[in-house]
Amino acid sequence: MPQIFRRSANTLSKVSLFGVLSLVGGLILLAMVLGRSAYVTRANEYIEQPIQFSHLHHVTDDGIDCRYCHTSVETSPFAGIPPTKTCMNCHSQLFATEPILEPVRASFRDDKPLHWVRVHDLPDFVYFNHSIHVKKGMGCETCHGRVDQMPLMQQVNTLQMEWCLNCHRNPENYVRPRSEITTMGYRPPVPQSVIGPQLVKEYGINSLTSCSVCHR
Amino acid sequence: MNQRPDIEALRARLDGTRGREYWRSLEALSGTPEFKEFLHREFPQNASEWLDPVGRRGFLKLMSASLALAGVSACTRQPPEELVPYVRQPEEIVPGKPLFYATAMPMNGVGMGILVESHEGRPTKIEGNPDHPSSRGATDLSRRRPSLASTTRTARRR
Repeated sequence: MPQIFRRSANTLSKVSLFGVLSLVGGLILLAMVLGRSAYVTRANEYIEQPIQFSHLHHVTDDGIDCRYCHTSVETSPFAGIPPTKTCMNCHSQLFATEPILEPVRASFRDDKPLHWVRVHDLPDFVYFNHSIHVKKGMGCETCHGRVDQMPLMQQVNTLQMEWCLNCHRNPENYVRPRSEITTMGYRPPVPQSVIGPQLVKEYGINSLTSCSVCHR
Repeated sequence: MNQRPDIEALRARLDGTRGREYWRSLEALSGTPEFKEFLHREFPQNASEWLDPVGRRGFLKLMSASLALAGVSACTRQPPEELVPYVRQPEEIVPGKPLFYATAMPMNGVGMGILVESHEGRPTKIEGNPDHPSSRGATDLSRRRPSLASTTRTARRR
């Protein structure tokens, strides 16, 4: 009786066995990597806005505090997008005839709001409150990155649950004094491992990780 | 199968038979084409729809495939969302927080004291005003919701 399988069939069987295993593993890995990638999270993506507003210019060059425009960040869940009136406080005098600011003037003149595109967009099934984070010593920079170096606003972090829990589990690694909330490029005066636990104690920060804290 | 069987025809059919003859119904005995068609459709083992397994299997395959792939439709990026701030923000409003107004609405000719929750100018909830001397926080349930709906409609009409 002739042999059914050639000698090469041994190799072929091994290759196909391990091939299938690595293919399945690779697909799972691909799904995990893709799910965290900037393509899905829209991180590091510049978004077209009605006006190419530069945080770099307004924060670094002009030294305007975050809360001059984002007024409700300390009192409300929503940090607040400034009304056109806030822009016109300065721009009725400064660069008052620049063509790039025409949409602002048109909005103010015609009483038509500006339509900005949201950069930091949490899913609708997540409850997020800015005021409590600010109150507990979470700096703007911790989540929003170096806004003072952004000519156009972009999302720096993934804003995924994994990333939220990173801090909710270990708040002492990220907390800063309340006086330094809006500071960009903050460096702790004493090592974070010393000041972190102190502030956690002082501000009464609870490590809230139960589902219903955010998914309410 | 409502038409009455032709008795004369049945008699004629049974005329030449001998011995025992059994039938379930007069319709079965008559053996008309309509009855045969009815029988053909009534019982699954004979039904014409079941004689074509390819179509049914193909249908089931398609259904299971679309069911399995339905979850994949969740794997999308979030659509872009707009932020539309005020042009001139009213003084009392804090974005993201509701305002409460103490007001009154007529009910049976009497003013009913109510508190209205308003989100950026949109009324969302009407409650009784506990400080109102006559109602002390009570509201008429049947009146409360229609009144909210009417305010919304007024707002939309503008």
